Amino acid sequence: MKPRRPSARSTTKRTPRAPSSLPPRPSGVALTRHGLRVGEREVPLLSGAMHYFRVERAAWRPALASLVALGLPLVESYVPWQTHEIAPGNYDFGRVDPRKDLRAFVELAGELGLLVILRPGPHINAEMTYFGLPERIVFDKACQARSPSQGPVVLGFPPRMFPVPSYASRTYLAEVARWYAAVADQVRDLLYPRGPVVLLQVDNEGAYYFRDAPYDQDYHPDAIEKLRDFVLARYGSLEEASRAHRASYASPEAIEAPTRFELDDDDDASAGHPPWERLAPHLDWAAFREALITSSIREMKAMMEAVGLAGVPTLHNLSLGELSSPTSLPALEDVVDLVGLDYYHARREHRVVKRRTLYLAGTSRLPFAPEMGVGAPPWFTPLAPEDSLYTAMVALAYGLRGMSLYMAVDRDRWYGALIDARGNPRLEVGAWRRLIGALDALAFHTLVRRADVAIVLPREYLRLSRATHLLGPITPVTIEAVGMSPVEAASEATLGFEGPVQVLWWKFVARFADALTARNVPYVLVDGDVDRARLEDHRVLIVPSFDFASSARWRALCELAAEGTTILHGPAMPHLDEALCARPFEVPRRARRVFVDHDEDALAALDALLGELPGIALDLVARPASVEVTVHETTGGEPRVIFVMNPTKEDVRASLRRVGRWASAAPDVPWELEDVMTGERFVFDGSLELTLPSASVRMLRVVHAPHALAREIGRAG
Amino acid sequence: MIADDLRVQGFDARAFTNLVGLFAPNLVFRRERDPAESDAPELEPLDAVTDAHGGKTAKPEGSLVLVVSARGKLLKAFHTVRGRVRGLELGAPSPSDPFGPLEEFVARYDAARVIALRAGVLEELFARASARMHRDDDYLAQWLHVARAVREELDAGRIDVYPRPLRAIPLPTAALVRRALDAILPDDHAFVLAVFRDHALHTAAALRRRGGEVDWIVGPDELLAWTGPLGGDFRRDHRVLSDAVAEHVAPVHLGLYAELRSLRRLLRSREAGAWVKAVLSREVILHPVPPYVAVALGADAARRVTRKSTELLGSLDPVKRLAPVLGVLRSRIVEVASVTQTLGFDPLKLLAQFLDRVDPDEEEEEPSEAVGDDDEGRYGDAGIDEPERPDDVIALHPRVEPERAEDPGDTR
Repeated sequence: MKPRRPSARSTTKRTPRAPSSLPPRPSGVALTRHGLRVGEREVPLLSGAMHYFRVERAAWRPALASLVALGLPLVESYVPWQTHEIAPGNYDFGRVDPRKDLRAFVELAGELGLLVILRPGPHINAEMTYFGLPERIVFDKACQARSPSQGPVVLGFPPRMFPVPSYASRTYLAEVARWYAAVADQVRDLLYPRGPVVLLQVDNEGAYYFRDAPYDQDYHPDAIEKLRDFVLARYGSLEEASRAHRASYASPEAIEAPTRFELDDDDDASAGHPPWERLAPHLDWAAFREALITSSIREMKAMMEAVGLAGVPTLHNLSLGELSSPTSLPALEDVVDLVGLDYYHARREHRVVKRRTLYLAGTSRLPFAPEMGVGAPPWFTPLAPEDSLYTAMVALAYGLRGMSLYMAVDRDRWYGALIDARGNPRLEVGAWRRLIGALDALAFHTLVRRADVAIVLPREYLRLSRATHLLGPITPVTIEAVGMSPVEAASEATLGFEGPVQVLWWKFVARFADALTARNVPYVLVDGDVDRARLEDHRVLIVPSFDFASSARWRALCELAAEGTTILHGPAMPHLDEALCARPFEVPRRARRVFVDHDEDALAALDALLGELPGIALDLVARPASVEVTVHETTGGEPRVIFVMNPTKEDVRASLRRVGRWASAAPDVPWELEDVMTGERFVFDGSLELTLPSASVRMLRVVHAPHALAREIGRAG
Repeated sequence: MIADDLRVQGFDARAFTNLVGLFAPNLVFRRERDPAESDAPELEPLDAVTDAHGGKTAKPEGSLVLVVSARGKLLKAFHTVRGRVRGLELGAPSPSDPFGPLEEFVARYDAARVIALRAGVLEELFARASARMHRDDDYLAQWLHVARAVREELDAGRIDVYPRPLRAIPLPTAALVRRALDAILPDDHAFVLAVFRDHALHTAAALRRRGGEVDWIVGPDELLAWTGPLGGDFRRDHRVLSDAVAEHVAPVHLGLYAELRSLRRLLRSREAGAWVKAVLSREVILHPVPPYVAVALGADAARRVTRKSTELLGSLDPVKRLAPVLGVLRSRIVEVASVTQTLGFDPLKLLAQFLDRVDPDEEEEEPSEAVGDDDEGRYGDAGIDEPERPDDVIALHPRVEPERAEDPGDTR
């Protein structure tokens, strides 16, 4: 299969991808803007993970019952290839080991009123040896990803390092097809409406098995063949590819994958050729690696459909470090219905949780966490119960609409699940039950957090940051996953530009993110790969721009500007396209070009903007400034939930003030608020004082806001 | 060292983080660092990290990473906690300092260490280690391949680290480590650790070795399910725990039972005789006591007796009380060699050094402030307010439906 032409991916005008526009599925299950429509009802994506194959059969019923009592409508499980395959082509689905009876598990879940999400891999991780793949697959050289020297690419995870498979290997994909057929034989007739299975995940954490560094892999012959197709499709001809790559390709076979980034500021300078002239092959390689994962998952999804695993929505999840990952979330959402992010964070990572959720809110169809870490693997940074709950609440505050508690039920190689291996709830269940109960009672999944402002994250700069990563197998994803920025290990070489674009673009984004937070302006982060329609949701787009940029996206920005969207970009006007070829770039109408050499520059630019654009949605104002507040409202503009967050290590006494539309409509009428976790009640009459312990979140239900207010706000909105 | 089919089970979050806090407190420190101040933090050229009075802010943390091109040009400098570092200039390289002197950067950027490396060296190092791995290698052997490749690069001057506390530690082979482990925990035997705090279980684990590898680690959930309710006095409970592990896991080769405060102090102690004093005063229960531990205790006591005589042992008559132990020392001297001499270093001493380094002030703190003692740490409880037990201890009874799930019936 040839990869799709990547340039078509970015910003050409297409049918809007609003989830509500997805065609209804014959089975009666569809992804909506808020959750799943199952038959006549809409179900929020609130789930708990239970690995049936790791729980004694006798504990299945009490564990599932505890999960129901927790208030979750869905249960989720991986289906591990390695566990079920006892010999090539010979599977145990309960015949030998009753814990492996997948079908019985799904039926029992249905009997207890639960809907089911199944994740049959092939890659599942799940802290299993070889990430759940059969040993014979892992050690089959034809299946293995290749290093530049054609060696295996070894992942250092316990309890055994292993060579990771290739997303391109035809041998591997053929084996996957056989595995899917075996799974389908078990559960084909348990898909909704005949059974409770309502969502299927295709593969898992598509990011080259954490060996995602730009020149780690994949130099498998099948991958190189796809690279050549990709380059030809990207440029349309060998001649154009040669021009972009500053090469003379006599045939497609002459196109090679770069094996390391060796461009230095001093290179070619004397000959008058700046180093950026030789960037295109590296950026193409980075783009190809995204496309390879997308095409592999597309192929796997087709395999599932071919064996009857079809008719229900599909899902994929990305691990920590998604901005550094060689994976495009929007591109994947062209293949599967929903792509979510996994969350495993300590309380100190407030910023990371916020950033990731704002990205999800601005980019995905439905902000969903397929794995909201409750506990963690034993070889992960130790997390306390408070870390998990804080992370979930901050993510909800910034726009998460659904999550699967991972793990809800205890299992091997895990600690901290909410329900123990015998099916009994642990003590932490109480807080989670209150939270889930509140989400349900408030229909939280139907609420919105209005964001008039979006910061666009251009893919070409993300790719350059990855291409210039300097720590090799201590990969960009790893660096970001441990809490550093997605550009932390990118080279400082200027490559002939005025500065290191691969670092500076992120600085631009971070400065505006801080400025927006400081001015209580809700915003989201939008992947540069999204459709133009998605950008239309916002009144203001903040876009880092340097010497080169995607010409297709720039065109879209110009169109949006002509239609009234305010574009704020800088520091440079691009003059090179993503292939580093000179091209005229139009200045977007009324665009504001900004230079943000200092933090205050972003604040000044934002203040000027707010002064000229009245009515930009604001959250409530909180003091001290370290306290963050978000407001979630109905689509009619009625405030329903206020989150107040204290990310610091100090207890604070916070004061809130209504501003903007929250103040202008019925300013004298107090709001009645209730903390959904503690039951405390407050009256918010213009201002409100609250005590917030260190690293804590208050989720305040708006018990009463006058109807007049809702109507007023609705009109203003 | 760990089996392919390793099982780890029976830990709630509190028990697990308490366990980690004992042996790797820096992981807990990391969790409790200050939140980042920016999504793109950076330090300007001469941003020495100081407090308002110009003094040091806190103890050094994180690493300063420097990546240098083959031509010696600095391509990147970043601090793993404080972000991008601008304007840093390397000193002149020398045979002993291939990247120039690194020591000054430790102080200037308040980093725990500086790591300097040539661009591309990590790729080559991992490729070389991967090529040396065999399919049958266990995890330890695999890591030793990586460690050996790192050391080769250190020796070749393509990586430099300052400071290098492990410089003098020889790299053992996997076979040597396995042989040492044979003496510490023979096949088909178990090690039990139970740590109490204020008469409640703080954390516990049992670990089994089989086929030469650790294949099962069991936490408090399972242990309590096997023992039934515990009394809260580790001096009595240890027998129940030991019996349960023997019945369900494997015969216990070594059991270590103690109050948290005592164990934390002992793990960090470099004081001669500390362990034997704790054992004799029943501050710590070792049960059973395998020969190598007796030997180690005997050696510890001998050191103590030689150096400090009896006064620090208070009312105990050490020589008399230690006679049996010293007897074991004489008869089992070979087994001492099988651990420390086999490895070429004393792992317990190394652990003490490590723990002392990561939290040197620990001894001065009150127990309730200790890392790992209190998972609330410097943070609040984020709304988890179950009153049934203190946050950092485990119920002393099996989890018999503390909050029994309702029969879901037709609730949805």
